[in-house]
Amino acid sequence: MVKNYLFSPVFRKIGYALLVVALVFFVLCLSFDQLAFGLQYPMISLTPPMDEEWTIFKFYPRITQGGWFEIVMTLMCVGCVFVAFSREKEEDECIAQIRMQSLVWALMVNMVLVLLTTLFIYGGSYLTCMAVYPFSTFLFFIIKYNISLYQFRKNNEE
Amino acid sequence: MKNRLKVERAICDLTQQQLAEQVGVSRQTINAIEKGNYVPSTTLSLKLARVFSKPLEEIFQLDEND
Repeated sequence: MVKNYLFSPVFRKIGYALLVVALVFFVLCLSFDQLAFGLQYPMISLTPPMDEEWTIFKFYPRITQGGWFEIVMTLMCVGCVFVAFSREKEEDECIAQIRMQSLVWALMVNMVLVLLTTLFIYGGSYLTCMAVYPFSTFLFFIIKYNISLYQFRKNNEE
Repeated sequence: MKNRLKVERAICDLTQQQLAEQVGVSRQTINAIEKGNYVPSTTLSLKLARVFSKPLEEIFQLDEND
């Protein structure tokens, strides 16, 4: 029996809801400083503070202050996974193949973007791009998968 | 790969939806197989052959390009 690691179809709606909440939260925190700086909470960090030297493969566990950015990233991560890896209501091998092809396409496109970013973008902008790439893979996959699924259903509707 | 799925389905007087329900796939998948847009897995091919009570090779044949 082949194991299916996909979530139930209801998780897709939960995932979209989380993505919308993350986006709204992101815009609000960028717009209102009181909201952004009021959301400080203690969390564990494994890297030293910015003004201290960091040695690779050595960890410095400490309590630091986390905030809205960590919340947004968490919501985005969970939302993307739920949306991308939820079953269809009518799941069969053809849809599984469409899902696999879309995933391969998204990974390849994302790696091309990473390569172009690495070659042509430097400094802080590069780090900003790197922070986006975990989600861009999922977003490319979700877009490609839904387009492919729509085309498949439209072409085989008769 | 060529197939005689549509012919066999007509012989047995089955709609695409009925055949899809018997083998556990969607109607669009059956349509895609009949049009040659999708090659079914071994398991699905065997299920389809069992529905029509025919050997697998009578329903699915290799193309010259395969």
